[in-house]
Amino acid sequence: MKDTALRPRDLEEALILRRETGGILYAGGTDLMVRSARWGTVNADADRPVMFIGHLEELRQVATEPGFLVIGTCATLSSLRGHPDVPVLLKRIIGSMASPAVRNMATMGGNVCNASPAGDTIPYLLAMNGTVLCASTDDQKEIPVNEFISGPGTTILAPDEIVTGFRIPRYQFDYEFHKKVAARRANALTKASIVGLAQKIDDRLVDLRLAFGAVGPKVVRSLDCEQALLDSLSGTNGRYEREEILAAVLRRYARILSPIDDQRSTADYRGTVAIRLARHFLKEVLGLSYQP
Amino acid sequence: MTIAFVVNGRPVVLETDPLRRLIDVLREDLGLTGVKEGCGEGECGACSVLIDERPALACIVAVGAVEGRHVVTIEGYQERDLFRKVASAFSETGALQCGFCTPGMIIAAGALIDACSDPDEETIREALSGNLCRCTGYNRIVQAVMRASRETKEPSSL
Repeated sequence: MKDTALRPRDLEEALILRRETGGILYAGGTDLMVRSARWGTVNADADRPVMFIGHLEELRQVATEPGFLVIGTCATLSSLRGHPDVPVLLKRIIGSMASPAVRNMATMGGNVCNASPAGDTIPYLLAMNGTVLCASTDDQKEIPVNEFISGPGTTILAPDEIVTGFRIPRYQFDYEFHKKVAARRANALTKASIVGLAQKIDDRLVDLRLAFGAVGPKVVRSLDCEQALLDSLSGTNGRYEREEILAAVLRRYARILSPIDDQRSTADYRGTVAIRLARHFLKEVLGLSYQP
Repeated sequence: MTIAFVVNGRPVVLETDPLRRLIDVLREDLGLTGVKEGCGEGECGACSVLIDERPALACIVAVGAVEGRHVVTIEGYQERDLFRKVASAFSETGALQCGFCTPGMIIAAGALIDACSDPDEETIREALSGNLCRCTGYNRIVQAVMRASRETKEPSSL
């Protein structure tokens, strides 16, 4: 009987086996095993064995480079949450994911490669301009996360490639916001989520980024909307003017979100909540929050 | 595929399909039926075991992924001093009714007490957030974990 699974000794062997077999990559297994139980997709294809990579030390590291953090694809969510070099915002996001036992197994590589519009680390990577590092036996690539993810559940990872990690600029923003809306606090998939980042110099907004989860076929970020907001602020706008600018940019965002109805939520709810979350964050950034 | 790992301190070598779920191997091949299957998709925590001393869910791990690793089920866990403290706190506090979630709860509670000697209520609820109980309403479980953590701090009486 042909083996249904492969267990490479190191990354080099893993890349060779991946090229030869196109094996289905098993990192933490927490999504793959659930899909396997429900739909039998893991061993559906006898010609494509499963390839365990979660144990490969080369893929489990967290490293710092000048200006960047590099997170290994198979570093578990728990290990990231406990790591001194991982930014606080990412730790908060990880704390909102799954449950402690699942986080001990699940990996960031799995979360991104699963390519769900509700994948919780994806809005963070997108807002931070993080990239996906892919390797094959004879090539290495660095791909922006929203190019890597091509649609719901699909990526452009080639059949001979393995994602080795993520490269994230190390940059602390003045404003860092994350909110996930879900049915319960643990083990709940996202109905809608947002990551908001903003930077000011001398009270003038110079950088603004919003990424929305679970309100479209992919995680949504609009450079146009972000730039439009920056351009419409002069730095001396009065309160009424800022309210108008905020309303205009939220209308713009509402037009580009395309949430759907599914078993977890409705399009209506998702769209409304995502815009409300954006408003909440932008009110704070624009100095429009209620202050007693 | 031949898979070698350690279960409750004992080396195990199996010739089996590496994609079988760890829970099935533990229950069916090794007779460790303290590992319960609730939801079968990682939502309920009834199948909690320790893998390399960290809580993990046996229903969403393929046995091929635990090659070379140490798995502890409630059967092995009950040899530990901490188990006795947690289990007696559960029974004295009335932190269970049907008992189906209890093995998983004790694994999760014990791991918390190992990591944090004086957990507050919020920390306990977070640590147990992946373990569902349909009987108790959780309050007594939280009380039991607090009690057990207090007892582990006190020097044990002879």
